Amino acid sequence: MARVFDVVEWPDTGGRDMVYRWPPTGSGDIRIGSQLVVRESQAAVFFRDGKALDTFGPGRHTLTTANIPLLIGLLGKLFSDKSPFTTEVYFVNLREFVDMKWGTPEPIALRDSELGMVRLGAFGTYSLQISDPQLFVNKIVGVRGIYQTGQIESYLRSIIVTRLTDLLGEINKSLFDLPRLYEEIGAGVRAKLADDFAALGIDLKAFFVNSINATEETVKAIDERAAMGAIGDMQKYLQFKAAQAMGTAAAAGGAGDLTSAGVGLGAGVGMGAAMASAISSAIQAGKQEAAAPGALTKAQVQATLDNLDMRLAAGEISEATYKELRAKWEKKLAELG
Amino acid sequence: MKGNLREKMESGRNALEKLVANLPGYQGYKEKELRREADKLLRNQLAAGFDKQRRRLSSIQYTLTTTGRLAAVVMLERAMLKLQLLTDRLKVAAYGYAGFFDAVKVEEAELDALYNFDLGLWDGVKQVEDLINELEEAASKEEDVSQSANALIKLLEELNETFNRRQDVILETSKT
Repeated sequence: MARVFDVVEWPDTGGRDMVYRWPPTGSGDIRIGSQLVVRESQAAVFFRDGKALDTFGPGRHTLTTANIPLLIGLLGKLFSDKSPFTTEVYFVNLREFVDMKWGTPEPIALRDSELGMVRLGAFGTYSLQISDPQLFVNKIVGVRGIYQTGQIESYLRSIIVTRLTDLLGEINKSLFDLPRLYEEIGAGVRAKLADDFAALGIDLKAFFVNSINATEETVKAIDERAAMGAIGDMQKYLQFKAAQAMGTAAAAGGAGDLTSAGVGLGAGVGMGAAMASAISSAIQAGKQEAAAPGALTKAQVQATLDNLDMRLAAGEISEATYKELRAKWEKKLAELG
Repeated sequence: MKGNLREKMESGRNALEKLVANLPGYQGYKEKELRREADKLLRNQLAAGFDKQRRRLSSIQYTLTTTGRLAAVVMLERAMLKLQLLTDRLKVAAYGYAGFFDAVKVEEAELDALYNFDLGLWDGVKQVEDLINELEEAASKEEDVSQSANALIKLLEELNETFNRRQDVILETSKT
């Protein structure tokens, strides 16, 4: 029997596709009177002669095209057996995509009210729904066939991270306060993102922050800060670090350069003066680690190295400077044995 | 205006549809279908009305976020979720069908009652709009928004509760 009408539909068996184009490639020659079946969680954007004519909601719709049976058979002969009246239908999935994930691809540096500077990573989930099928098809899909959630996720992630960084910068809270603010941050980011998503024809339905974590470097700095908390200010912290380094060396038997400082002599014997001298040297080294290393002890170099972490976390030096100085002092430490 | 949707749909039938409507047995089916489609259109309009208010609410949240009032943002997020729930339910509500052997038959009277029930929700859109106007003003003046936010949450809870009774309309009408 000769083909008269078509039935155009998309059963959507996968569930991950946001858009399905009919026909998948090229253009269709849907006959006049053909039936377009749109399911409850779908919308269909109907293109005729390259123009997005209308968006059809759930139900059965009768399509009108210039592809009149018999007539198109005759006309087709003039166009290499192809219909000149092209049609395409883009089925848009209107279900809520609830399993979308976001995360910071690399740590974000933020000024912290307590720690000075921190580097954070964050991740969470969000759900979205296509709210304007025609806008979505024209802005995101273009003339491509299937468009899957995975293909749009990376683009959306970049917008999310921008807005999150923006918000975290605005609220200027300490890293220690953030866990109790997940709900507030989530709501705030969602509000900030709403317009960005709407511009793509997408409605951001929910946004959740699952975790905000400090990077390894920041955690190390926090640990040191916690140790310092028991002591007091930065000056005392440096003294603490120097004493800590000497204590380690003394426990190891007082070998190396520390012998000259009297640490290896044993507890109580001339310890006060020797320690004061060593601490003073270490503080000096901590303050001027960029200066050319002269005849420094192993403990002093180690203290300087430890101090570098703190200075990075406090935002006093850049990461590039940190790496450069670290390499320099590690080399010196290796030379000292 | 909103009540004339079905008449508009009936008058908009083309010649082929009018011809088919005269087929025996089809007319009754089509009459009911028209009522369901009119109701669906009405629900879509209602959902669009609430959706518009939801976007305004989101805009208020944005203002509050930029001024660092995150606690108020969270409060409005509750209202936002309730409004979203109502909108989604309106969009996907039952059309009013009954199976052949079902105890309760859905006829024209039941479908009309359903339509009138949905029509009654228009007042809700206006009430939500009024409260969002208050919120908008308070947010822009950096005043406390909690009173209006709580009133909005309460109103949306009531509207959701009202919508829960939608199914009862069919049962009530079929009794009479």
